[in-house]
Amino acid sequence: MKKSVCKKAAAILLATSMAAAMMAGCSGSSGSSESATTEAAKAAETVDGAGQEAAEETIDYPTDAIQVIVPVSAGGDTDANARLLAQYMEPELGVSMPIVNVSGSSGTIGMEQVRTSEPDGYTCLFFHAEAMIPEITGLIDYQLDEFKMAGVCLQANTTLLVTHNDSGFTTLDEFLSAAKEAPGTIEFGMATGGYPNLIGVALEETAGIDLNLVDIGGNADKIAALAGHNTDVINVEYALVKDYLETGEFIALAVLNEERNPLFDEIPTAKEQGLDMVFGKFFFVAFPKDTPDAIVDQFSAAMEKAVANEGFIEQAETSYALTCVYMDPEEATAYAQSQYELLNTYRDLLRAQ
Amino acid sequence: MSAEILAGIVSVFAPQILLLILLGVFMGIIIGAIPGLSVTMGVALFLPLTYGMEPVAGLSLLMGLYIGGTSGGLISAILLSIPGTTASVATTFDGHPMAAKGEAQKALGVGIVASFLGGMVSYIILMMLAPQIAKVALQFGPYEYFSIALFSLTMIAGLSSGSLVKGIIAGMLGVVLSFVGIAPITSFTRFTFGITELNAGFALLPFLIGLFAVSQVLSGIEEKFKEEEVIVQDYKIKGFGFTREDVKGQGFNFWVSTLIGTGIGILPGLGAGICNIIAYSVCKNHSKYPEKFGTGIVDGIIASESSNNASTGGALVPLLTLGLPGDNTTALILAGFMIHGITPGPLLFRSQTTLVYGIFTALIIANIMMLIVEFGGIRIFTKILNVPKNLLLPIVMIFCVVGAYGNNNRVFDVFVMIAAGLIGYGLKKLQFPQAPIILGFILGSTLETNLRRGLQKSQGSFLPFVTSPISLFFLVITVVVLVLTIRGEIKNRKTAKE
Amino acid sequence: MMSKWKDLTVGICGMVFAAVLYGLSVAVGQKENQVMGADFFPKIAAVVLFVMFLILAVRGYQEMSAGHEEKAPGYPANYVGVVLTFIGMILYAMFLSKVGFIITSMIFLYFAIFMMTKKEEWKPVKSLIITVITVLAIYFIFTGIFGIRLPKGLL
Repeated sequence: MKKSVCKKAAAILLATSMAAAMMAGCSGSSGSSESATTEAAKAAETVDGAGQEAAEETIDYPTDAIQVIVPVSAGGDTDANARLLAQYMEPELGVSMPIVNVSGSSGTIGMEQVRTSEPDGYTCLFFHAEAMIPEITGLIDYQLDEFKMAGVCLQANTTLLVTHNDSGFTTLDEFLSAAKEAPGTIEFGMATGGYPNLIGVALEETAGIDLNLVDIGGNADKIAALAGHNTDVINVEYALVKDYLETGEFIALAVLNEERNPLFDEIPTAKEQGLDMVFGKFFFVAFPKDTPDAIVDQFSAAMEKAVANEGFIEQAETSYALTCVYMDPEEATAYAQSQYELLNTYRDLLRAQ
Repeated sequence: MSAEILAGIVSVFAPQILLLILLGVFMGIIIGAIPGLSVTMGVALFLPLTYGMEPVAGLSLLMGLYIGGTSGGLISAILLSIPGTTASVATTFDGHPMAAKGEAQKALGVGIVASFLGGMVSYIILMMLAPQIAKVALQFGPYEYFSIALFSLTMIAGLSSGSLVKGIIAGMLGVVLSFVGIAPITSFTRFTFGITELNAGFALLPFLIGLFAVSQVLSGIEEKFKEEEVIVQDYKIKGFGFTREDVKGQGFNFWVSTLIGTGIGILPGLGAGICNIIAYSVCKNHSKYPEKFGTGIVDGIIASESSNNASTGGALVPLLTLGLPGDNTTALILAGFMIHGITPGPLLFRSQTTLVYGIFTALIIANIMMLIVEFGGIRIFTKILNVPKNLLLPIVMIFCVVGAYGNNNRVFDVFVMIAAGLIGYGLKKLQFPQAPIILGFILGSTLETNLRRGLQKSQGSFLPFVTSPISLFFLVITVVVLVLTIRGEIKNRKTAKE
Repeated sequence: MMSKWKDLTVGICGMVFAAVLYGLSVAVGQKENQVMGADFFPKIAAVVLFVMFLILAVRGYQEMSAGHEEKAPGYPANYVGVVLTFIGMILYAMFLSKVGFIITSMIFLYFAIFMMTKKEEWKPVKSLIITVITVLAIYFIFTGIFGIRLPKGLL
């Protein structure tokens, strides 16, 4: 009795798996039927040859929802900014742009997912400058040039160097002097292998000082440690410590920009105080490398309109004190490259940690 | 000042906000009850909706989701022996045996009321003492966290039900599984064997569902030919399903569990996931009849459910007073603030008094609504038990796949869930306890990260671990518990042999 | 008979596992300027596991010699079913993305219900209806109301 049941079950299993395999094989790896349209567009473009401006092509894009992969978990500024951008781009493109969070491993899991997805313009990556760190620290072996930049939409010129009110120094100068007098004792809280680590290393290198770089964790952990006087100096975005600065519990030593940020212009830049450190965070959208230029340009044009929108600007400034700036694919790629070169100078120092 | 407080309280009583809270609570309960969906996921899904709302409206909705979601897990924990969320793992220990005995309604009733009261106490603490507590919470650094995690790990003893050795093995297995991924601090990958998907380690939620739910499906298939005795559920119970008699003497249980839940909730990084297990273990150790735990007594349910809801109030303390999220769910609630340009922090109580008191009011209203909704649903929930097992388990499996995939939008997590299911099934067959794995898995990274951070900070010295009073306290009770447990185990073995 | 060997076998396999773990931990290595490297904790875990498995093996041996018999369960354990279902789950996960949630879930659900139902109680049509309705309901509730994304696959 049992044997026949098993035979039946095995037969069903075999049949269904064969059926599923056939179905999967027939459809190919892309689930979207719209890929046929973009395939035609791509073919048309190559036939027309190089030299044709992409703007002159009228392509049928987009005709389906565009997935925006955000490689960090929901909640937090990257996720919020992605949603903000999507909100203002959807009316421009006429399709929905669902945010898909694929977090983990410093964003590399999400990055990998986009890198290996169909280059049909319906999957893109929304991330920021920290995307370049994993390759520098050796966690992965590819850089942003494995993607095709669609553009930059936001810039966070809000990275502060902050200390607590009981640390013994209240200005950048005092901090640097204290560090020189007692090398290796002043604690800089950061996250090993991450952007804060790089900033710590850059700080030591540029100022010629020796700090005790200690792993504390993410932003919440760093702020908690500083508030509890368990660390001495951290780098953090302005928006996250607004209140602490106002009460005086935290003191901003400098903002790491070229110029003072108009949204909080009482904080001096590191540069004007003699320390040439500029570390902003640019937010970008990127597609898989082989995505047709025509599609990327169309997306980017819509991005430009969204970034110019008053509502967008207002929300960006209110939530995280961000500066709205648009860069098209070419500018964005060049800018990313220059930023990479800046960050890459600390490659060996970072890896030696 | 008081005008603003009053304004805050009153603002919540607008009809649309009350409706939003109800919606949040209702959805939260459903999300919490469905194995595979977590509170975090629920809040994440509704977060974008709040962007267009007024701050008080949006945050009230999130509070409803938070409370409903944390509590809802007890439903599937009791009825299906599958924790709806990590917060209700310990509820399965006694909740399901009670349902199996025909006392499902009593179990549900006790759990619901415990959730309500535990939460209420923590919200009162939140309102009265938040700023002061926050200051204390800031004193917890890596040394203290390590010692607390170590103490929590000894709670495995209370979960081992029989063989301490097997319990420790299971716990260690959990710890080992937590090693996979990027090593804390040094940030290079460990034990990933080149599989990039493993760089992020095993996700907790798929692992949890696999361990408890998928293993059940496999067990169910194995037991296909077993003659099931049909348990008749006692439907004639009035009210919440339990009488005064049933909960006599549970006072100590309740207060200890609530305080544990609140305390753990306050510490950023530790949350509902472990406090229910710790509270359960503590109550079991202090009980006059520890051997009855796990057979279906109200003590276990009260310990688990009052502590997990208490942790929600606790977690809001650092969030509102310091702007520091305690876990993933509160991180999302933080985003709910930030998007409206409000940064929680030391000034929040002063600069946003109306909003803060609006949130407090929303919490209390949400808690009451949760009580009412769940009470109304007790009979309906119990009917789930009438669905024949051959349909119920496969359908639950589909829900689990949704949950595992939805956790991080990748199929890999579904594989993790299935693998965990195999592990859970294997453990059951070999008579190993399952709960210690979860505890070890959750605590593993906390232990390692804080030990190494502490040493990095002290530049190699172990001294600060014992000079810090808080850390010392936890280390001492860890040793005490260890000694007592080992002694008890040796005694048990001797009497068993005789 | 198998039951008598259980703990002993587990104990021995476990010790091997712990040894392998220790070996892997050594391979992880340690960066120079770390007081405690990424290899430390895994090594400790491996040692603890080894000791515990040893105790288990010893006790298992004692049980075996003492000749305890485990009670027979009283029903034929459906191990074949377990194996088939497990394979089914793996296939489900493998095809989930390409073929889509709806189709794979329907196939799996029907299969799982079949596996769990006793032969004399099996109702193919009723189960099919339940399968289709349940999966569609789940899909639309989760993607529509909850906004979770599920693989569309072939549809």
